[in-house]
Amino acid sequence: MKKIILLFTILAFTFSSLQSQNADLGQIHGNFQMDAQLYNNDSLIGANVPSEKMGLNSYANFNYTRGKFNAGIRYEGYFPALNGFDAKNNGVGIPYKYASYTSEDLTVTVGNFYEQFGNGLVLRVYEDKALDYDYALEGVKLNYKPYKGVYIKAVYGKQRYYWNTGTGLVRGIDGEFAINDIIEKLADKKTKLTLGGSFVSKYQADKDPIYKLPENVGASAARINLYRGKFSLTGEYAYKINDPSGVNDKIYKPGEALIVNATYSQKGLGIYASAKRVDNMSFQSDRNADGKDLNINSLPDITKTHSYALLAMYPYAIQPNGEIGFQAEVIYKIKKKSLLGGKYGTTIDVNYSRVHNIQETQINDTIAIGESGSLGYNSNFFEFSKEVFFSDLNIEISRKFNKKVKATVVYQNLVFNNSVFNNGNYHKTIYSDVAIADITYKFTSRKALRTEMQWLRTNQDKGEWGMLMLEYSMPHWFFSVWDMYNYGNPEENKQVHYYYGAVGYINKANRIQIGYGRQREGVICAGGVCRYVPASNGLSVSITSSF
Amino acid sequence: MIMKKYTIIIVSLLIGFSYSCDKIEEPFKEIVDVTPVDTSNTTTRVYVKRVMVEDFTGHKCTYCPAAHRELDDLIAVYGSKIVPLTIHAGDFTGLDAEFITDFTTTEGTAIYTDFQVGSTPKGLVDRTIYDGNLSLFFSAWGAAIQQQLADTLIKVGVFIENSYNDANRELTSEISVEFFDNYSDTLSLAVYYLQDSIIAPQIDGAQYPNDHVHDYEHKHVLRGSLSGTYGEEIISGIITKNQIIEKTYKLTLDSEFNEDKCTIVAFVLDTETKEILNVEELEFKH
Amino acid sequence: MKKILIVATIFFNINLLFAQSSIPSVDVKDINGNIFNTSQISNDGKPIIIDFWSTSCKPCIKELIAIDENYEDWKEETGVKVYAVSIDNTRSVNRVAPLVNGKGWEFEILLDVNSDFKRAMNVVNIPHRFLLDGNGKVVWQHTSYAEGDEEELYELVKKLAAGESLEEKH
Repeated sequence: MKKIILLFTILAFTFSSLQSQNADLGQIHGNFQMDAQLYNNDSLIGANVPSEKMGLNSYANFNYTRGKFNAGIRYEGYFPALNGFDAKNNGVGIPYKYASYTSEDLTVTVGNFYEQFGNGLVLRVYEDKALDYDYALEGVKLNYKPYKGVYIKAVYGKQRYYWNTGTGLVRGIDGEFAINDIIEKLADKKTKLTLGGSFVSKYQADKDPIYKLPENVGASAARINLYRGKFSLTGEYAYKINDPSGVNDKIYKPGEALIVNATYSQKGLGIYASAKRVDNMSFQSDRNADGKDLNINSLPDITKTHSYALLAMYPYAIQPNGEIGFQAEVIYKIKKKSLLGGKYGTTIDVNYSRVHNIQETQINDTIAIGESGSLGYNSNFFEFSKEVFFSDLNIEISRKFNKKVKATVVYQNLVFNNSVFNNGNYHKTIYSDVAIADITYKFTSRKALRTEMQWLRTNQDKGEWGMLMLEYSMPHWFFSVWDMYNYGNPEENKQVHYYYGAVGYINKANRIQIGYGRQREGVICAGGVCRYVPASNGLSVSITSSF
Repeated sequence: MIMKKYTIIIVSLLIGFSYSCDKIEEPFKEIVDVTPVDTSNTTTRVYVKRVMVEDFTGHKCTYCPAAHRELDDLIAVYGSKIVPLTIHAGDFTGLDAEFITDFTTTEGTAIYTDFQVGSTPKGLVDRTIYDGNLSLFFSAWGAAIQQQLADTLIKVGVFIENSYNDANRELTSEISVEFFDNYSDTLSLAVYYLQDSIIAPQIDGAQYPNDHVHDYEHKHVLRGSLSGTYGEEIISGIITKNQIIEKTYKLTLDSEFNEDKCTIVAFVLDTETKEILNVEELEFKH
Repeated sequence: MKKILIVATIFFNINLLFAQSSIPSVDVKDINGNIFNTSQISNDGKPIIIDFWSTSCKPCIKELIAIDENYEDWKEETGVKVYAVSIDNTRSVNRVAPLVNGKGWEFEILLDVNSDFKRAMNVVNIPHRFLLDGNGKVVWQHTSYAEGDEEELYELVKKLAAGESLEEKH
C-alpha cells in the first residue's frame, strides 16, 4: 500500500517537473474515491461489528493520454470491504489496466475494457462500484469505422471475477449503420434511421457428469432506432440458444428478450412509453456463477429509478428468467404566469410501470415447469401471467413559488411481490403508499435550507415509516440531519429511529463527507441471487477527488 | 488496401463466430454409470471414497430449493457416495410467527463465515477448490463431485459404530480412522450430527410462486457437532499403512430431535486447509 | 485512519499538478441517436460548460433548471455553450428526450449510456461540471450542486469570456 502511494507520488512529481520544461509528454488525469466506516454494535437494529471493527473501500484511476495513445490503471483496495460488499473483494491491487491507440479509422484497445452493444441485451460489460459490480473484459477490443456511418466493434476476452478472471471466454461483434449517413440521398431527410446487429458467443468446457452442456453458447440481437422530429421509436430483439445454467436451473429453452421504446416531446410536454419481455435471458460467462457475477449482458429495468429514501424502500430487481411489462410517463409543464402554473410555471410528472411474470405452461404432463434437464416450459410471447411482480404509480409536482421558495410533492402507490424479490422479511405481496414534500427555502442566493418530509403507509412487512430531513447548504459546506422512524413496525421492540447526521465540504472537484448514525438494512437483487446489506451503526467517511 | 485488410478481418471474425454455437438435442442428460457401494456385509469394513457436500441454505431463501433439488438429483445418481449436509446459515434464516424453527448452528455459521460463502444457495464439495472457487453455485456441484471421485485410490477410511440409549437419549459413537498408505500429514477428525425429514415451512419462489410451502421436507439438516467445528487433531507427521486411530464421542440428544431420523457424519480433514479427505455417515439407531 | 489521511493528502496535492487539458476522444450519442465523438465538442473560441447528470439525480436536475433559467442571458453576454452529458443507462436513457424537451432545455444533450465519457473524464459522482476555455482546455471543475452554485459558475464564465485567468491568488 505505502509502496504504491510512494510510486505514484514520485511518478506524478517527475512528470510535472518534465512537463514544466515544455516537452510534449501527454497528460495524466485521474480520480480517487474512498469510503470508510467504523462500526458500532447496535442490537436494536441487528448491526454487528466485524472483527476488523471497520471497513474501507478505496479506488484510484490514472489515465494517460498523448495524442492518439491512451493508457490507464485503476488501483483498488478493500481493508476489508464495507458491509454488504462481497468478502471476495478483500485485498489490494491493480485489477484494471489498459492501453489503446487510434490509427486511421481503427482503434485498438488491449487490457481491461468496458463495452455495450446496442441496448445491452446481449453484451454490456460495465462497472458500478456502489453496487459491487465490475464485469470488465480482459482481452482485445477493436473499434472500426470503415465508411461514413458504419461502426464496427469486436471484443474478445475473459471477464473480471474479483481479483481473477472467470473461466469462460467471451467473443462478440457489433455493427451499427446510420442509414442517413451511408446513403447520401437521405442525408437531409427529416427521418433518421439507424440499424444495428450484434452477435456474442461464450465458451466454457463441459465437465458436468449428468448434463450434456453446450460449450459454445451464442446470442444475437437486432435493433432499430428511428427519429422524426418530435417522435422517436427504438427497439431491440435478442435471441440466445440453449444455455443451461445455475440461474435458470439448467433448462435448455432458448432465451429471448424484446424491448421497445417510443417518445414524443415538444416544448413543455414529454411523453415516454416502453414495453419489454424477457424470457430466460440471463447470459453469464460462467454457467455456475452467482446471478450477480460474470454477467455478459444487462437487461434493462423498465421502472423509474427513485432517489427519495422511502420511495426506494422496495426496489425493483429485474427477473432475467422471465418477466413482461410496460412503462408510460408524461411530463407536462404548465405555462408560466397562468392560473395553475403560477409565476414560474409548474411541472407535473406522472409515471406508471407494471411488470408481471411471463405466462408458463407445462411442455407435457410428465415435465414440471422449469424442470432441470428439460426444455423448461412453453410460453406465449405476448401473454401476461396473473402473477404481478411490481407496479408503481408515481406523481411528482414541482413548483417554484417565488425567488425564495421551491417545492416538490410526490405520491406513490406501489405493489411489490416479496416472494420474488425476497427481501428477507417474508410477506407475500406488499402494498404501500408514499407521500413526500420537499421544500427548499433560500435565505440568500447561496444559502438554502431544504426540508424533506416523507411518509410510507403499508399493512405488510415492517409497517409504517416516517422521515424528516433538514439540509442546510452554503458555499463549500453542507449539513444534514434526518430521522427515519419505523413507528408502525408490528413488533414493538423494532419501532426504531434511524437517525443520521452528515457534514460535507466541497472544494472544486474534491469532496469530503463525514456522517454518523444508523443505516437501515436493505437488499440488492440481481440475476438469481440477492445480496443483503446489513443494518449498520457508526461513523462513515467518504472522500472523492478528480484531477 | 488497408480498408480491404480490415474488412477481411471483420468478415472472418463474423464467420468464425457464427460457428460458435452448440445446439444440444434431447435427451439432455447423460447416463452416468456409478458402481454401487456394497453395504450388505457389515461385518467386514468396506472403505470407499465418499464426497461431502455442504449445501448452505435458509428457509426464507427463495432460490434455495432449486439447490436442494439438484442435490437430490445427484444423490439419485451417486447414491451413498455423496454424504449431504444442509447447513442453514446466512441472511435468509430469520425467525417470525410463521418460520418458528431455528435451523442455524454455531458450527454452520462458523463454516459459512470462514469459507466466505457470502450468499445462499451455495455449497462446498469436500471443502476443496473447483474451477478456482471454494464455495460453488449448485450447478457446479456435479462437476466438482466428479472431480473428487476421479481419484479412486483412497488413503484414509472412516468407520462408525453407534449405540443409542433410548432411556437417557445418550448416543455413544465410536469412530475408527484407518490409513492405507505411508505418508506424512497433519489431519483432524470431526464428528457432526444431522436430522433428516423435518417438516417445516420454506419459501420456494421458482416452483410455488403464489404461496410459501407449509410442509416442506428439510433433509439432512446439520444440528451440531460432537467434536467442535473443525474437530480435533488425530495425527501429525508420519503415517504408517494400516495404522488405526480410534475415538469415542458421546452426545445427549435434545428432546425435540427425532432420534429415528438422526445420523452421525464423521470426516477426516486436513488440519490446515480444512479439505476433506474422506467421510462416513451412519444412523443413530443402526 | 492515518493511512486514510496520507492517501487523501497525496491525492489532494496531485490535484494541483495537472490543471489544463483537452477533452478525451470518446464515442457517445446525441439526442437523435447519432454517434458523436467528444473531440467535436467546440464553441468557436468561446467558453464551454460540460455538465454530467442523469434523470434520476435530483441535484443534477436542480442545477440544470437553475442554469436554464439564466441560459438566454449567459449566451447573450458571453457566448457560453452548455453540453449536458446524461449518464443514464439503458434503463432510463429513453427518458432523457421527454424530460429535456418537457422542461424546454436548450442545452446540447449527449448520451453516455455505458459511462465511457464519464470514466475518461474521471468523474466519480454527479453532478460534475467542467469549464473549458476558448481553446477547449479544461480550466476548472466542480463536483455536486448546492443552491446558487450557478452564480459562481457564471462569474468564472465571464472571466473566461473576458480573457482573464482563473488562477486564484493564494
